[in-house]
Amino acid sequence: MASVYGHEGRFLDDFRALNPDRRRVARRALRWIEASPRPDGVAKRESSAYPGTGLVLTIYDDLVIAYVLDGDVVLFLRVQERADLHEDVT
Amino acid sequence: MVQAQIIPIARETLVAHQSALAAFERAHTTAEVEAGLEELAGLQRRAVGLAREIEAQVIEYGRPAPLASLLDVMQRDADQIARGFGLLAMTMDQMRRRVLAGSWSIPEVFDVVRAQAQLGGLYFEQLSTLLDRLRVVGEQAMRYFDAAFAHIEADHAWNEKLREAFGSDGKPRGVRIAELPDVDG
Repeated sequence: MASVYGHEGRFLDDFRALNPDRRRVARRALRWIEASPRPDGVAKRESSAYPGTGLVLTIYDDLVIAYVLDGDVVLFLRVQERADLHEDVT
Repeated sequence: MVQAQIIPIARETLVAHQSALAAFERAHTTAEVEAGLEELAGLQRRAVGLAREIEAQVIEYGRPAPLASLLDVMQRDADQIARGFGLLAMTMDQMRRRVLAGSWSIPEVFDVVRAQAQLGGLYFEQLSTLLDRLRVVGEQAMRYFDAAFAHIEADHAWNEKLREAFGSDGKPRGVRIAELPDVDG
């Protein structure tokens, strides 16, 4: 899918692909991440897949979000809706 | 986990609060009553801090889908307990000022403090129950996230797509939250 938002399109395309309800959830998730972006070992975890980039993965509701920390700046890379993460943990 | 640090402090605060109440019942002079009220208010403020720490921990867990509504309730409970203790501490401060100003007699103060102490006991019970729930839900959240992250990290398609978010120079091509389109845009 070609980016409709310019050259930094990956995350925007992902975001655009969500339905409006999920987009609202995603916005909540992003605000939650920005309020405390460090990987805390519970819901936000550093990925070992991309060394040197400070890539962090987080799972919020049924969304998986990838972002990097560039100094004080949070850059969001990918968001994906994942219904397969709904597991019964009780 | 933060609850491991909070539990002993909460127990210690509860015991200190009970001791302070018992000591307060033995107070006779204005100075003793004033000191007792100050101590009770201090312990209730400590309990506010504990409830706020629980609330912060619940927020840290984010929103694990199977536990989301349970965590919402816990966050609300922690907030209510914190507010309750805050009001109690404020009442203690007000009574202390009245005792110092001589506008309330000591028996009048005792009546109010006994009523407030019952409420305080109830809040401590709720705090203790919330800590138990936090321990259980925390373990469940950890299990859920462990499994979910392992699932994602092993997902080849996800990783391939994620690579597209990095330029040929290896730099991430991410966006800031401010650059996102409107919800309906």
